[in-house]
Amino acid sequence: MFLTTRVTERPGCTVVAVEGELDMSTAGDLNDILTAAIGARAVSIVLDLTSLDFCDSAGLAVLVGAHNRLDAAGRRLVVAAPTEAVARVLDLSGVSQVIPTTADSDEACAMVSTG
Amino acid sequence: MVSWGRIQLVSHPRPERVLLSQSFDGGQLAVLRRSVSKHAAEVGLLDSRRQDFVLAVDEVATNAVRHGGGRGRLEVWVADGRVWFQVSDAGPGFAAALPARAPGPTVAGGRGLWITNHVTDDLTIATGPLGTTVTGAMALPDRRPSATEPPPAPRP
Repeated sequence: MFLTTRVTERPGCTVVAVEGELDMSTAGDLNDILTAAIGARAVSIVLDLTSLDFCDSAGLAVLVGAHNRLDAAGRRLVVAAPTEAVARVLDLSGVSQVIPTTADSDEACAMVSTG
Repeated sequence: MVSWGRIQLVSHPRPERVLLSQSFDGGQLAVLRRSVSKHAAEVGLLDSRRQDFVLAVDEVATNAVRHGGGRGRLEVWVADGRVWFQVSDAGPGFAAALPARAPGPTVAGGRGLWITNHVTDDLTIATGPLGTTVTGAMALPDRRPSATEPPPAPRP
């Protein structure tokens, strides 16, 4: 029941790398981190999920909420390198229809930096 | 299949083997998931099916914590070629209907039960002012459940 994040500001995007598990007990922490990142710079956000082992609907709610806030500001949220389990949750819930997925954060940053 | 609403007599197969029987609160979901995952693997549920089973239990347990009074009880067992879970709480029950389609992709919440119904082979929800019990099942590989008859009609 842990979640740690690392925020890296890159040209044209902010990368939020998440490690641990996303559920109702950790979702609020990620929401706070994303809120701060969204407010800090007027760029798109890349969510690096390489080390995220689990995500349920509580986690999805945070992702969708962040997407909606960014979208309203003409910015984007992109997921990078989700694990198999997390990718499947994104797919079966339909969230992957609005939040794109890339193989890694470099690809994600390139996607959002060119607008 | 979702059974819903008025009290029904729904009979689930008798446990052949009980894997888990414990109470939980909101601080124990990760431990619960690990335990469920371990037991599911032991009885042959593998890879994505095992992940789906863990996810289903997690979603239902989360609902018990959030809406069912902060804690619940989880039972996991094997019967009739399936692995079953049941989460019960003593909360106030709920009246939400199970949507036929997932919430739209830009809707932030409300996906838990839809996901659970989507990944399980069978799901039964019984809820009322004294509590809620959610029972789900997933077929184990190489052990198809015997052709099941329709559940008995509710007594008038």
